[in-house]
Amino acid sequence: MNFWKRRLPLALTVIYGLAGFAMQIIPALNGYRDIQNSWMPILFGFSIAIGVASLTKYHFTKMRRQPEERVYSIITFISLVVMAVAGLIGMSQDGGVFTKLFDNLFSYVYVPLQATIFSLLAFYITSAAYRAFKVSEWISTLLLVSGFIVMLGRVAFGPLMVFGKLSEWIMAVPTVAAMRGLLIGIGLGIMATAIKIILGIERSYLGGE
Amino acid sequence: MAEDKNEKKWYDYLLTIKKPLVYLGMFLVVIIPFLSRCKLKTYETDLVKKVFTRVEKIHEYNKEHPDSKRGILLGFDYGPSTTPENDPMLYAVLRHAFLRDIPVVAWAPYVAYLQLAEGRIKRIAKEYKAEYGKDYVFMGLAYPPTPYMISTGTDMRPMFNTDYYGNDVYKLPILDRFNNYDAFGLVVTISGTAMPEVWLRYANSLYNQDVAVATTAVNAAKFYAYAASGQFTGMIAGLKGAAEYEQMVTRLENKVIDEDIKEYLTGLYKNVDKDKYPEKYYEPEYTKSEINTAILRRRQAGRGMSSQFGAHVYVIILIIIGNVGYYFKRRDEKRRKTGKWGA
Amino acid sequence: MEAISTLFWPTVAVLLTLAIYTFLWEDNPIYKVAEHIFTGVSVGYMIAQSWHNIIMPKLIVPTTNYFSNGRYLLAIYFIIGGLIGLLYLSRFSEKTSWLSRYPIAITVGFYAGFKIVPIWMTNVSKQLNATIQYPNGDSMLNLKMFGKFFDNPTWGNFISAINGPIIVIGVLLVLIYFFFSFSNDNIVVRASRKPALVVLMLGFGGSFGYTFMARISLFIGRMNYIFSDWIEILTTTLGG
Repeated sequence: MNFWKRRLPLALTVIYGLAGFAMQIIPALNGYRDIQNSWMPILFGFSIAIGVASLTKYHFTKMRRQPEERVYSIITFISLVVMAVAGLIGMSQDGGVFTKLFDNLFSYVYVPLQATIFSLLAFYITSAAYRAFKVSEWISTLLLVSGFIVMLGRVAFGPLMVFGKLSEWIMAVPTVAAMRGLLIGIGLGIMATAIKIILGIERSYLGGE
Repeated sequence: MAEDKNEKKWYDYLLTIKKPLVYLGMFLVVIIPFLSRCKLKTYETDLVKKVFTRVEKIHEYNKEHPDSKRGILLGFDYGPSTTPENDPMLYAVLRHAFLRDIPVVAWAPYVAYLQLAEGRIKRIAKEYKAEYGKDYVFMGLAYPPTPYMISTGTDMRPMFNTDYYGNDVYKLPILDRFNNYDAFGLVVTISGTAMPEVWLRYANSLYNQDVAVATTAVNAAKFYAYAASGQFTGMIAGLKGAAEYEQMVTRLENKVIDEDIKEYLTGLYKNVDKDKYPEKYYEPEYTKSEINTAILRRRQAGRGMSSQFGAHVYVIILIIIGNVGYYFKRRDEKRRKTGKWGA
Repeated sequence: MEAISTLFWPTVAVLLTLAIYTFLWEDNPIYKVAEHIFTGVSVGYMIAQSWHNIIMPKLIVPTTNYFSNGRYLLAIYFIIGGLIGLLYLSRFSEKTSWLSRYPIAITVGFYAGFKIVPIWMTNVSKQLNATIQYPNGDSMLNLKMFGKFFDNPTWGNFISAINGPIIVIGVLLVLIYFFFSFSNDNIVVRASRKPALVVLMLGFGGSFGYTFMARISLFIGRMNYIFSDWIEILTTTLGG
């Protein structure tokens, strides 16, 4: 069993990893690379199914276990079915009731809800900045001052243009230096992990056991 | 003395402004500029100008080489959550491309982005009478994006099989030529994620393709390093960047169209062969409210900038208030400890 | 009647937006209803789009094409891909979940191997190169710029002379800071700690300013929808 559960998956990683590396650097393998490329999306496609199914499962369990929350799970379920049916039928027709319904549900329900939920961050960041940004050391003052300059600089006009110039300098010189250092570090880190994966040293992606 | 400690000092009030009050203030500073219809013209920066001139260069090139035109490959790399920042960028870039008759091929890397992309691209295409399959095409899903970016090194069509609408990719005339990086003068990735880095890895590093980025401000700081190294051909960052590009395109549009936009849109589909525009892609006619929305959309980012100014000043004041309170509270505590004062 | 049909959906969007904002006051049933509608709609949307944009064009269409073109080997390879992909679904039972290791092992392995070179080029070699010379080929440590400054001592010349050296020294400082972040008594490492922090703090400050800007823009976008787009639709429809 250990062979099927552990060794074979690991062997596949090593084989596909070496193949991936070879296809990247050897131009003669371009034909195989293209075939492999069009093959990968099929595998990824099913991983989306997992997300969908686990969410549905979550709401069913919740409906069973928390009767007081049941009404919300029913709402979720109804909107799921309506949207899925409208989409499955609507997208295979050119125009028609279902297409319109799907379009409208998307543009006037899905998009505004997601955008609004995400926009709550505007309030949280404001409140957090007010509470947490306290000057205690000169080094944190530096962060605050540079933040202020950039915030004013990006909306500057007229007499505030001096902040505009300063913020452009902060972004083009110290920020580039700091971010470049980070990018190089991250790049080397990703490469090291990738090499560890194809050599079979790093195995955490296979999960426990 | 014990009573003294419990008594709220003036700086305590500065330190404990209630959350709903902070939020209410935010609502006000953002809404008031909208109600008063403030207009704030923003200054234009080099990184945004670089994108604009790069697109103009493609136009120049196409004028000189009408038989071997270059197009734009558009990565629609954002979802509903970042629409407020990314939408105006997309509108401005697409308006620029269609205004200059540059062919556009677009795709989206995640399922959640698809419908968003389709609706938005066709709305802008309609404003310039762009024909689907000839002037622009929406390829649909490119997930996972890596293999699609790589296959565009030779020919993207086998990867897609069909476009978003289910048309066979070999039957769309635009794709006869615009199917690999050689035919594209520029990749524009409009993104709320780290997708621009993926574009750099595969399109830029492996195929030397010029990549311009239009990004939410959150990712912009990191991307400055790539812009400084020349890996990105210009960058449109955040609402401010969008407002800049919008300004530039509107200036260009006024020059090229040279007509009031309302009249231009009203007359657009009056005397045209409607068979060229199948309803599947868009209806070749305008309603009154559609025209109004189209006009509003032309300065969507610019309209937001005065609210942005208000909110920035507001939070700076809040942070300063917090720090003043904090400073005096600490000074007070120190004095109390050393017994100099208050005992 | 027509007024209702143009106004209906945009008004739904406005009401849902406001329903979400009620959460800022406190958690309440209105918010919860909106949140649960969102969850349902987003999953329903994924189902519909996955069918039309993955299963159909990426699996069924190519496989049938290969079969009808007589390229049987390729067709079989695609079917195998579909079967391995199906193994993802084994995750729903704890007993069989190990089967999902196969698709994971293949995708993780392949892209790990595939991305080594592009990452090296994008993150490391091109960035290092840009720390030595500007994209136009000028050196970052160009002493001629200082000469130009001494000939004509203006602010502009001074800034353009020092920008290159600041970036070069800054990148080195940050790299030393991160690679030797554990306790280290080396004099270079110790001496570079404070200056590295200065560079990082200025950079993070800029980064914070941008992040704040982005978050605010999201809220502005929603208000823009209500106070520009929706009001416009309202006045045109009702005003005739």
